Amino acid sequence: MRKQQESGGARSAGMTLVEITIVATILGLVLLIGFGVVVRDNRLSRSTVAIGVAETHAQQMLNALVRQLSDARGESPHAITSAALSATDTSQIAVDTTLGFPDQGILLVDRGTNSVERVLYAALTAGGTSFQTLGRGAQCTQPHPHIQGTEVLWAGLAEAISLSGSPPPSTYDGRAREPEGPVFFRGDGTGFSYRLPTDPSGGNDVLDGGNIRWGAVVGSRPTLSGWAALVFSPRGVVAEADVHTDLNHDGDESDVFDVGQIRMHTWNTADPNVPANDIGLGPPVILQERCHTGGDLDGDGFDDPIFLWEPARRRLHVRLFVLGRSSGEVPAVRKVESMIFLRNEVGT
Amino acid sequence: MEGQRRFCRRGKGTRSARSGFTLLEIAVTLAILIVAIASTSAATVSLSALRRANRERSVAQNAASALAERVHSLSRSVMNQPGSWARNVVEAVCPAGSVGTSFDVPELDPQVGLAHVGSITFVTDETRTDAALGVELGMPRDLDGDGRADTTDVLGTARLLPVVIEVRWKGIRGNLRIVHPFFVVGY
Repeated sequence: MRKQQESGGARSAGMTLVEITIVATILGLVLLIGFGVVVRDNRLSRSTVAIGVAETHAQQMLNALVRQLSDARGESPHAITSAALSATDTSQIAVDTTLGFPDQGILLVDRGTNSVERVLYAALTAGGTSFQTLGRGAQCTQPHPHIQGTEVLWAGLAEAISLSGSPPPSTYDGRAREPEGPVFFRGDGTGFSYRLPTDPSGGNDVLDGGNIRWGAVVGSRPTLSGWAALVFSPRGVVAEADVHTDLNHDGDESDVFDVGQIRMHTWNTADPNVPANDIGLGPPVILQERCHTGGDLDGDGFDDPIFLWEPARRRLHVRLFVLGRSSGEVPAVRKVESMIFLRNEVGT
Repeated sequence: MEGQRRFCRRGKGTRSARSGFTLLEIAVTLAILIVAIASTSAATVSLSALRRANRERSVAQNAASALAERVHSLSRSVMNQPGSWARNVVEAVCPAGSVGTSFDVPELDPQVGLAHVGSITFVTDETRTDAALGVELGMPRDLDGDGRADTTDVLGTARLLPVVIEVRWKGIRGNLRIVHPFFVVGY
């Protein structure tokens, strides 16, 4: 009886040492592999979600821009200085007109010459004849004196110009890839100035006879002296050296980028005292190379302005390079682009 | 001793308190563990594939939309040029003598057997039907304003031009296709 009990106890006493060793080894291997898989899954999930969010943001922003601009009429802000400007003057630049220039921004003065300078301005005067409160030598340029009659452009607008072949570099600021071939342009492509069909009474009657009434909503009121602009506004900085990534595929890791937001400004050209509107159109995830704004971001050898305006074709090409964070905080850049035909544009 | 107890099954029926896991139990546990990990992994891969599929669809839609806007722009710019408006539009987009062409879209791969991802076709035959075209354009339709929908080639006279843009690509979830039909107007 005792023998039977001992023999029965031995049968139910679990595994032998060899079995335990084998099982422990298998279990250890499975756990190790499982841990590795879970870690990889976790990183992949985070990366997927981060890139997915960036792509969604980019697409939403693009859709918002398309909705905003399809009825718009584009403008090419252009002025001529009406007085000489010294290299140290920070009070104002007197010009023939400021019409179409946003209420604050960056000017491109003496473009295409050795005296080229980018000038920040913070306000316009009521008469629309000067830019006030200047920041000289902005965006990697130096202050220069400028004579009366100098051309002043809004740096934000990238406007296609009629050049072909291999023109001198001073005649253009960039070269973009378009469906019909390379297009030369001047400006940075970080903004677009426009007006929309407007009924000043707040209704839906935007026609005056057979003509469209143009304007914008300023301070919640539609007004025919209203004007609008989309502007890239830097909010942060990313250096390739810090993230160990060649973000613009130019073969080095030495570039510095502004990361910012597209903002919509509307202002009253007749009365600068009316508070301007300033609305962010999405998260601050848009990438632009510092000191090479509108430059090549995908390594294809062509520049990538956010907005490229072709007045002759009434066409606005929008390119957004969105910065997301993939696994290990490695930045991931995603591009979305579209073309907008401005149907209501006047003349060509 | 405490630890040993923790690893032993509680006595049940004829089994003693000292009895451990059987090989079968361990095998079942491992199988469950492997299945759980594989499920998690599959979900992650699926999430990644979903994101990729969404991206592909967005890229395809943006490409179709951009081309449509380009055609609208071309239609407007050739409005006052000599010759037939419709022919000018078609010739600005397509190779000579054809009413369609193909194009590629960055990030999208063509389907097996196709050389390109996208195609654009101008409909110049008033008698074509929606069923034949595979889209909803209200065809057959009078395209040249003569009051009838019986002309088989309106390239020289059309004032209304149906356009079909199709993007077909080999996606992460198989072959996919979007179609963007629209009209350009020559007035």
